Amino acid sequence: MVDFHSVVFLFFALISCLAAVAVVLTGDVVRMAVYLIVSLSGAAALFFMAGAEFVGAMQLMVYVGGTLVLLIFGVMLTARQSLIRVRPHTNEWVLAMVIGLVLLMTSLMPVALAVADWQRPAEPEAIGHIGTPDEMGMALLGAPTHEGSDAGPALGYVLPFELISVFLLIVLIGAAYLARPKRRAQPAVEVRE
Amino acid sequence: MNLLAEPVGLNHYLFVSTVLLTCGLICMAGKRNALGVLMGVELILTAANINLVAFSNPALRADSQLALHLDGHIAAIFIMVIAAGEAAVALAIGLNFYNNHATIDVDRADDLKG
Amino acid sequence: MDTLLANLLTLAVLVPLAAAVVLALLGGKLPGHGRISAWVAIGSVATAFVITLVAAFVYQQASTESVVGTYYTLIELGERSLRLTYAVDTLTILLFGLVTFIATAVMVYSTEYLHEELAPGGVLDPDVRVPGHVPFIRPGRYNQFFATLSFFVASMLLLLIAGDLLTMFVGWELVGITSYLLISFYRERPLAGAAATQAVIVNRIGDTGFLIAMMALWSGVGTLSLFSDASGSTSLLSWAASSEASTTLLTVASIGLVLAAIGKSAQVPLYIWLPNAMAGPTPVSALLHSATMVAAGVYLLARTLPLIPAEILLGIAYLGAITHIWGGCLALAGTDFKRVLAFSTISQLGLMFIGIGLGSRDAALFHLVTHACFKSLLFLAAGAVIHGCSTGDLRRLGGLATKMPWTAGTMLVGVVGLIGLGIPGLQFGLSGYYSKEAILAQAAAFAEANPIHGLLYYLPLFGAGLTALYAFRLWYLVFWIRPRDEGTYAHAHPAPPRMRAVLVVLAAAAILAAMPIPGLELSVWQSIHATAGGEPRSAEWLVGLSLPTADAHHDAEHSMVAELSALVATVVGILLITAVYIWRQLDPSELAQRFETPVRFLRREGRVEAFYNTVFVAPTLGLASGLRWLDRHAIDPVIHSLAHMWIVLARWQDVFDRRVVDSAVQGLSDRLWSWGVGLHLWQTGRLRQYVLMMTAATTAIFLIATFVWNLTRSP
Repeated sequence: MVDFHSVVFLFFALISCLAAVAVVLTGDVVRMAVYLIVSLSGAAALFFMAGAEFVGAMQLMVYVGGTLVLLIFGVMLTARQSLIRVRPHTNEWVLAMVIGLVLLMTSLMPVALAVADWQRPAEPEAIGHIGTPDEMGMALLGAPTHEGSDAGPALGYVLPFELISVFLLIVLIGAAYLARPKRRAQPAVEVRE
Repeated sequence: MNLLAEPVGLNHYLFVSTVLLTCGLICMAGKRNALGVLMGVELILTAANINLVAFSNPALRADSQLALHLDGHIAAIFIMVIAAGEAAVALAIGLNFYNNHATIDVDRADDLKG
Repeated sequence: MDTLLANLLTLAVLVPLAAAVVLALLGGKLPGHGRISAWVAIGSVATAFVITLVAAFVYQQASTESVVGTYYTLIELGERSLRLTYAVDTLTILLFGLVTFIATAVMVYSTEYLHEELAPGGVLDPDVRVPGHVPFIRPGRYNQFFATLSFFVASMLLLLIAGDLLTMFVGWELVGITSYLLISFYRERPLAGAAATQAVIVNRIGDTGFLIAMMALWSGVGTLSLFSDASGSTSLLSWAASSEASTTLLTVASIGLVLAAIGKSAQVPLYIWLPNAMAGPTPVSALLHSATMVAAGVYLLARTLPLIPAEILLGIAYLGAITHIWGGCLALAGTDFKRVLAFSTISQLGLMFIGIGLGSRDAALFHLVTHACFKSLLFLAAGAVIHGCSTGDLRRLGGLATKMPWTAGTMLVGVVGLIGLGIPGLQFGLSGYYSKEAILAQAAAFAEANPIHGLLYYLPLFGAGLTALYAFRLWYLVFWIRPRDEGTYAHAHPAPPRMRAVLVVLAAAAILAAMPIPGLELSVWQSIHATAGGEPRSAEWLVGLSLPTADAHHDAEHSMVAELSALVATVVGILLITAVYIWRQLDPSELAQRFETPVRFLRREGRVEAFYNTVFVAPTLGLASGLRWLDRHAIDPVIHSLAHMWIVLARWQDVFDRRVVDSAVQGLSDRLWSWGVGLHLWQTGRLRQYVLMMTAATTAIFLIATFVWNLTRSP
């Protein structure tokens, strides 16, 4: 029984997956970047569909709009004609494919598809959203996210929040230091295919 | 392909995330361009995010009492933040490498060859 | 009184010993280049002589016949005991006096004779062969001579004072050792060491007999003491006199003792060492090998006479007779001055053995004393001749009476004494006359008692004639007939005054020894006769053998017969030899040709030494070299092959160690190295590869975890 929900899901899932495959298969680094943007955007749509609006919005803003833009800048800065289409040797490529497909086929798929409890029940409920931004913010600042139980007391996420802040500070300083202007080296050897 | 017949559940999301993960892995392992490798990293992290979000919704799964609810979302946020930071630093390293060696080919970066 | 006597004589033993020790230790450091060491020795021996005279006086006053005592007890096991004892009686004192007197004379003589040992530059010895014909010069050994001679005197006195067989054996061996040292005095000469060794070895054969006799007697009787002490304990003599003495034990013991006497007193067959002992200095020959040491055998038999069965005594008599004749024959054919005198000594010792064998210990001892006097005189005269002419070869000497009158005169006295010339019936003669007459009288009595052994009378008689022959031959050849070698005659010089004085003193002793000391009613003969223990045993299993008593020769009948026949024999001998050499009636070379075979036989001394060499020495050496061959070719190869085997084993082990162990260890380390090298190939430094590795590892872990989880998961 195909319903609207499923069709939309299928659409976005196809976009995401095909774009990801395209990232793999293409050799041009600029095109790789574009396909990546498409794939991530599809992922964001999937987030929305799973009821995680805040996470989806974050995905679009931070990932797509920030991180990938950064990547594109990097591509721009290091793109020389000779380097754009550099491809690895064929046997390495095959090896990478094999390992990847082995991982896909043998391990994750069976687990992903075989667990009965992870199927949606026959009389599904509606997929509502899980967390509002308020709840998210409160949790980040320390409000407990769930009831305390025998497993452990109810905790917030204030410590990881602080750590993330520090982490971002370090990243800023580090990146700024690493990328400071230095003497540029002349290209020594032309990269052959 | 019973996936197409059933209503969308957790395993559909997991299917997508697996594909993304695999593609990300192959990208990391198979690209000579350092920025290509970075893109692979991004794909993997996104796959993780999809996993977390899918697991946190109680309506998508039969054992809904095991859903992560808010914890999954917060975890996804954290991953995104870290991914951003990591991408920035990696890019800085890559630019440094490019400035020193005039190439972005990861196969050239074998100074640690033992 | 008794202890005084014992102490005096013990002191007489110790004084020369002390002199010997002092000279041995300090001799090299005495001033005057050792000249004083001679006078130390002379002083010690003269002191011993004086002490003996004092002891004689004390003994005269004392009432006891003999003094017996113990120096030291070695073992005492119930009834048995081993003690070092002393026994003093007339004989002891007499022989003490004799030994010390002659020793003093000889030592004074040797201060001149060995004068060259004092030369500051060393002594030139022409008889030593050095490779390269370089004249051989050695440092002088004056001091050593006198030290050893003093030690000899002390040992001889110990032998004489011994009251038991063990102490006597100690003295016996000590004189043997000193004899060895003195014979080998000129030790660089080739003959000296060999002669000394021969003397020791031949004496050893006799000493075995002594040891066997001692062992048999000690185990059978329980004591080795000859005399009973004041408490009347068992002694050998008292045991022999008792009825419980078993003939077997007596025979065994006496055979042993007789063997010892044969070795020491140079009887046939153990006499060969005495002529060769002339390789030592002449004073040594005079003191040891004529007067004192060789007489020790006779002394032993004289002391142990009561232990010897009569049958053995008969054997002794025959042996003595054979020796007497054989020695005389060899002396007759001799060409070396000292060797002739040595054979003469052997012959006279044979005569003493005849005396013992015929049962008259007193006669034998009397002859011992007189023989000591004139034989030492003869040897010292020979020394004077050798000293003056630097040769002792009779074929080169001659006519020395004009050049060395004193020597000639004293030697004539000695010769006459040796022969025993005297006028019978008048009791006038030299000392040798009396002693020989005593033995011959005993022989006459014996022959009368046992006509079957009449030979024992005629042989000494014939020996007397022989003695006259060779003695006068000797004197004529050296002093009377014209010189054979002009060179020797030209260089001859008379003896130095000191030597002459000693010769005169000894000549006087030779004349007077048999005379009684005026006013004291004491004479040598009486002293000997007064000593106890002179009765021989009577025959047990040899029926018909009857020994005359010890007094038999005093029988007028026997003594007259003996005197007359002795006189006849000696005169015949003198006339015969004079006819040869003086009156030129018989030419000696013609005689030598006529009797060529016997003369040649005698000139070679019967080839006895060669015979002994072939029969005894060569087989022993052959056995020794055979054993050496065995050791070298049979035992050594075993040991070598054992060692070889070990070496081979060690080599195998080395190979094993190298191939197996080392290769295992090496292989292990190589394996690890190659693994390490192999592993490092993975460190390519390439990013993508690392990613792949990580992925692969993670996948693997995940797979394993899945399956393990699947397995452990409850269905």
